Amino acid sequence: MRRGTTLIEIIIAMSIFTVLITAVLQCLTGVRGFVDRESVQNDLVLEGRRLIDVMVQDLSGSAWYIAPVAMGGPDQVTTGGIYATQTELQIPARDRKIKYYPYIMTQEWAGRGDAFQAFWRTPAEILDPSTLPSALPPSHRWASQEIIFVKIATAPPAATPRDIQPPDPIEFQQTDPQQTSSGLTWTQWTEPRRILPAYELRNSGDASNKTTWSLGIIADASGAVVDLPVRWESDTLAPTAAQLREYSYVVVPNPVSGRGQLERRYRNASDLSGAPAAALDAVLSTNVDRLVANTYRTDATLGVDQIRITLYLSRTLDDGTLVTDVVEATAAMRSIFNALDPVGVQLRLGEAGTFTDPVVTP
Amino acid sequence: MIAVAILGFALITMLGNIGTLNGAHQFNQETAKAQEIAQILAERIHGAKFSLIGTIDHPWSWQRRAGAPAEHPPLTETDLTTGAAAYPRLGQPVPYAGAPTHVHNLLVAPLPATPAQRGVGLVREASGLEDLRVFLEYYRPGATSTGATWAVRDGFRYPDIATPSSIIDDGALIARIIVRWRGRGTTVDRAYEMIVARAR
Repeated sequence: MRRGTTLIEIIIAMSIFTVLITAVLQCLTGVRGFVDRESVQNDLVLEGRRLIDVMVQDLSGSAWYIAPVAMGGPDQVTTGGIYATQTELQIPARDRKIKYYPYIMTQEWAGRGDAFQAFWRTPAEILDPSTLPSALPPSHRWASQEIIFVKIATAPPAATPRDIQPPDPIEFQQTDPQQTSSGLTWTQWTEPRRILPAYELRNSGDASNKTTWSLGIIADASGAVVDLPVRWESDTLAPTAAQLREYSYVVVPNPVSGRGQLERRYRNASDLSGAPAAALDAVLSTNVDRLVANTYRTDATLGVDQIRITLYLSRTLDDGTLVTDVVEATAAMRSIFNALDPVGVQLRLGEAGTFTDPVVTP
Repeated sequence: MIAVAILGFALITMLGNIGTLNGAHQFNQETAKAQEIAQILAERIHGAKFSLIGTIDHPWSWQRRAGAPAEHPPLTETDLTTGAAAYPRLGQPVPYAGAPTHVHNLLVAPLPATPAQRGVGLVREASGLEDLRVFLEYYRPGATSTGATWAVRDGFRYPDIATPSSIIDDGALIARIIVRWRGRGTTVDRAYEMIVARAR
């Protein structure tokens, strides 16, 4: 006679089965969490690289530029005028009133600039670091910054940046621009050529006409420089200083999540009075907590034609786990003078890196 | 007995898998952080003025060879000499007489006291990596075409001394970035290496 299964045996068997199933589920959950986290981490790294590439490309088409006296800038620092002294540029209170590019504003009242009122925003539009998850590293939760800059035009004028049609590329590796009496012509290169450091940006107009610019390019074997005419980006063909298109990179709260999103904004004017508000050009990412920019004013190791940007990114997984990444890059802008010439630099900026108490924070 | 043996085997396998997952998770986290540090340092090298790389103007860019910690200590998260954070004032002469008297810290304070101190650090808070050391070595471009072993061919490595002027006299350089750390809760040394090249 066969003995049947007792209740005790069934309970023991079920307990063992439960333990086993629990272990299996935990293992599966772990695998899934692991895969999710690694996937998000990889996505975040790739997104950071993409954002940096976009920003560096933009900023590389920018230039160090001080607006004329009429626009509240010193124009040429050594020529006199109400703001036109080296000392004025080094006084923080005055520095915030002068219009120059690139201009860094911290997203707090102390870091704002009177010269860029069109980019001011209400507290609701400022990402409050205290609203970010406390589990984030502290550096993600400090005040973000905003970069305001102008760009050299690469296409015919357009009402909005989205309307800009890319121009025919200048193939520096194949042809050689030559300035002749009939204009700019192209010849085949016979040997590798060099382009001037930072595409030295030259102003061929006088002090009252700052709209005629050119890029200096080494164009022949002797090292002679020819000027490739360029202009500042605007929605008009021959922009004045008040009609430059100003761009801005800023981190603002996402309307839905409240987390930070990186936006590029622009406005087709650079004057102070009656300035239109900046328009949204693109939302580049919804995973950016903080944007930091350093120039020679805040980091003495940077040249006047350089800007270093740092992005702090993070994403929250479904289980609440935070994944973070920090990316950084240094962009070389066009210069209106030889940035390596200490005399030229000092004439325009004073002694670089000696600001005693700038308002901007790191 | 057979059933119990199978059950035991299954449970051990499960526990082993969970342990392996945790280890892999931790390793990936640590490697991602090391990669982030190396990437930021590589970007610094790419973005710095060529003539200032390796000079006293850029303390972060000094040559810090792996295998020669006494003369060329790596970047760490603490000052090896005092245990405190070290933030040298840039723009002022930094003592460097053969062996550095300043051991530079990877970290930067949230709000450095003076502007000249800003932007020195490569990371903004503790990395979480145990015994973190970051080495930076410079080589002439020929190092890659000769099959030279890193760090042993002096002819391809730039001089060690940092000076006010450039130590880099070629039109291009190769930088080897090595991030070393100890696995959390283990005695295993780990490393992440990155090679970058740039022209003048």
